Amino acid sequence: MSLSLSRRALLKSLGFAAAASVPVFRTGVLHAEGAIQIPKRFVAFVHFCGTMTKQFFPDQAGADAPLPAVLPPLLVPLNPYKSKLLVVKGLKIASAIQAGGSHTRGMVTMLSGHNEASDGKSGGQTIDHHIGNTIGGATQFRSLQFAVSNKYGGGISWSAANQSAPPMEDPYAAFDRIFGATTVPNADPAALEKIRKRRQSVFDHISGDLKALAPHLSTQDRSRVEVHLSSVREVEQRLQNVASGAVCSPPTMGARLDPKSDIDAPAIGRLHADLIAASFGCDFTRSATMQWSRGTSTMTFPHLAIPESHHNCSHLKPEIPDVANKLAKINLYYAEQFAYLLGKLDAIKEADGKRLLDHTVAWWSSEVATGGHSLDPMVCVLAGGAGAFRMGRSLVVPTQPHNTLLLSIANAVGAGVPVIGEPDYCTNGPLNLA
Amino acid sequence: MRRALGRACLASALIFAAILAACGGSSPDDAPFSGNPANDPDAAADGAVSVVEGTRPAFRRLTHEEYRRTVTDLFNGTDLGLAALTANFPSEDNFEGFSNDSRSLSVSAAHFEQYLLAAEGVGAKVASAAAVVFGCNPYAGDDVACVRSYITTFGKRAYRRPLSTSEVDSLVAVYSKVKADVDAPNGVIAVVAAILTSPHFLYRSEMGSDGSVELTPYEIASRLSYLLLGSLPDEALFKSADANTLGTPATRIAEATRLLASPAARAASISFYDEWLSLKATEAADKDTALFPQFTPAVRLAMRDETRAFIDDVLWKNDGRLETLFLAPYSIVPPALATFYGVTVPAKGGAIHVDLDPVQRGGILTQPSLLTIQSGSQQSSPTFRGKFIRERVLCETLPPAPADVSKDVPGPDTATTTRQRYAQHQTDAACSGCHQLMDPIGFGLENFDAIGRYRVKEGTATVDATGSINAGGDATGTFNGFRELGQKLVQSKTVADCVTRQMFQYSFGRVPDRDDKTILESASTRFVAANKNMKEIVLAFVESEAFTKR
Repeated sequence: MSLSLSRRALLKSLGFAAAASVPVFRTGVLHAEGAIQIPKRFVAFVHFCGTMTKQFFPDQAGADAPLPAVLPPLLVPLNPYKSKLLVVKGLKIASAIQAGGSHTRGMVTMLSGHNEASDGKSGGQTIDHHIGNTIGGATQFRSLQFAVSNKYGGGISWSAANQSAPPMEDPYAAFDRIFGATTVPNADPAALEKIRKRRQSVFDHISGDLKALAPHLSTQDRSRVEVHLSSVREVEQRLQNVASGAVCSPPTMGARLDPKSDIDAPAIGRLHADLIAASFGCDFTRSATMQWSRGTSTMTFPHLAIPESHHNCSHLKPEIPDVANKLAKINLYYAEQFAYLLGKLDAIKEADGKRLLDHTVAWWSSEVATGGHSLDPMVCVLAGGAGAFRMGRSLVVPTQPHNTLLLSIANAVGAGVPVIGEPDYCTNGPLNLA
Repeated sequence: MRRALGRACLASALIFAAILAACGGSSPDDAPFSGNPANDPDAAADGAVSVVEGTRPAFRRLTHEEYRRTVTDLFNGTDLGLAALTANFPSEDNFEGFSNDSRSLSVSAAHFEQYLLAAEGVGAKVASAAAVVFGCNPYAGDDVACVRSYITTFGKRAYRRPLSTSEVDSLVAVYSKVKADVDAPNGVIAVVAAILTSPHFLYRSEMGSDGSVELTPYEIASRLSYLLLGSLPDEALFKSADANTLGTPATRIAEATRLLASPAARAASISFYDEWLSLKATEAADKDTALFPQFTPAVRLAMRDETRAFIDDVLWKNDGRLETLFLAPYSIVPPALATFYGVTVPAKGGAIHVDLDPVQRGGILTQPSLLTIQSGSQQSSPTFRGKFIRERVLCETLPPAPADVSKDVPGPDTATTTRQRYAQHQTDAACSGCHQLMDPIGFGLENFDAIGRYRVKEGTATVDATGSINAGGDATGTFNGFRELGQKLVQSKTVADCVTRQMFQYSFGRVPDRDDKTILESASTRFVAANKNMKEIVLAFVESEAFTKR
């Protein structure tokens, strides 16, 4: 028997390296009463440095209007999915309650609804983890985090206060992790069984170590050990519950790209979207985040002929035509990428005849509303709706902390709770989007 | 304010506090107890005042660097293919630039999965050569006795303390169960994997014994070895821990002196500077390639390596002094940077010592790495450069830029100088409150462009490199050019205190709290008394009573 486990070698032997990209057809789960239950999913698509509000939100009469025939300039790439969109204007990034806004503060609060705990750290768990933990079922990953060009680190996903869930930047490493032989069915069952048994003893041993330690630790140290223990459980569940014979197709990856290169960034972003769609399609996870670099990124846009970063451009005066031009190009580019992700989700047919997108809440947002660090109106485009939101509309709501939206999203995917983030920001309950 | 600053006898601390209060920042009197804004060269005024609360962490995860060194040392340098096994480790978070702060060091599912796969990979290597590694053959004869003896000796080094009998029993049970379930080689893999994924391996304990704040001898040994070697204690240090002699300052100093003479200490010493100076940011620095076609990926890395080599030279071949770091007119120049300096370096044979014109260069502040990181993609940035010195060399906290203030710096053009383009920061009252703390320092480095090339002219205008440190404690005052700036900094006690604080944060993996005042003050005093030799700060920590306490 082979003692060393080469995932890449196994992967190749399974034929995945050359797998063709075909739409996935899910079988779903047939319940006794005959109803097919399709899992719901959540994906946050996050760019940074905000947008240009006037060109982004529809100019409408009334608080609740159908989306116009032609979407506002910065949303035009989303036209094909108009009937599946819901634009919400009026949310305020909850960190507004704290003095001063900033990119890092927005990054840690936008998915958590918590105040910043300390320098660049979230004060609590983010919604992607809450949703994954609640509705993840037997999926192999509670949630998956992706980032394009995340130089210097800096995350939007936090498993608990101060506990960052680092995003995957290299789509090839992500591919290995998600579709590698350790997680994929159809490997030699006898060999897998041996590994499974061996790992069980290791998991049992470390869980014992961690549990024995916890009572001896201070509150802070203990919270870290508790996160560690739940990480062990998640990996244990995933690696030990590999089912055989599931039908699903990993995406085609093409030539290796450099995750640190600005030139490769657009292609990497598309690969991440492919991986998210495939992970949903294979039901490997039901919750994902995708971030474009970070708030104060130095990522430039060679393919748009823009040599500056979005951060630099966003702090220049948008009244200057050249600046407005660049900002529009960058914002349009992100709209195109969100459209690409929606396209991937919409291409996957579910067992009920609907599309995967229809069972998903896809949320496009940003950590500040505009380049000047303003906190409202928060960038907010919802897509899909998971059957809970009424789509094809544009809503203008009274200014309120965005926690109300987080509550609605959680409800929509079946992970409803009374409070997400700071309780003070949740007193109005979930935003009504039905 | 200008006049007030000029009155030398007026207590500068008062002015200092007043200006910082106007900007919303914190004064140096508070500095040892407050945080720096986020480590981010592109975040000109982005970051937050940190609040330090709660008890001191006693359980700190190894950084990836510490992990790799520790595993390598555990197997005495045997090639385990560790670089490949750890290639997909998740990127490290950091706190105020330091990646070893306990708050940043969590174990997410992605971490744990990678730890498991790496440990299994190492385990497979061990299993295939078990008789050699174990010193007895676990596949023949009394395998359990052989495995038990290995667990006892290997486990002590991996956990950096002796294992209790029940811990040994529990690991032997892992072996026996997997041997019964699968086979003996998998039993060996399971034991190695269980040890290398155990919290006792992955975390450094500083819990003390039985609730006491006094560290155990083994915890002191680990604190010492991770501080100086970035890895587990060596055999001699383990012996000192066994003999419980590390409670004595003289013994700790003797051990530290011994370790500092080793190549491992020299190799590990760069880690602090990497993080204090954000050197790794060079790897990700982006420039407008139309303006700077020579800024290739190879040049980026050469810049980082140059500064590392220079620091290594100052610490280990030269006098190790702060002044030398900040002002010495030489560098260790790699071939890729020869044209930057206008010197000749043979293309083959690596970096060489080059004496530089002291008018043009001197020390780390004038090296392309730092100058490049603290610049925009198209032009130099007096703001970033000043902010870097403000935060990392003066240890002062600046608040984030207020909401809805446009940071409108025009792009480069031939008609104006950088200083002119940054003028609004000083004239607009909404900006100047904070920017007077940053830009006037950065102006002193205007003889260097966005990729660190020396210049005397910008377009047709002669560069004006006059500047001032406003409200900078005893470093306050005006200067002309990098050399006068550097001299102000290296002569300043405020700066000496700050360097001490930075070293503390790295050494102890946390921000100092109020009870750390004594150790900070005594270490800074010793640093100054020893002509600001960088090694003295660490030795002062090692000698202090606080070194043996949680």
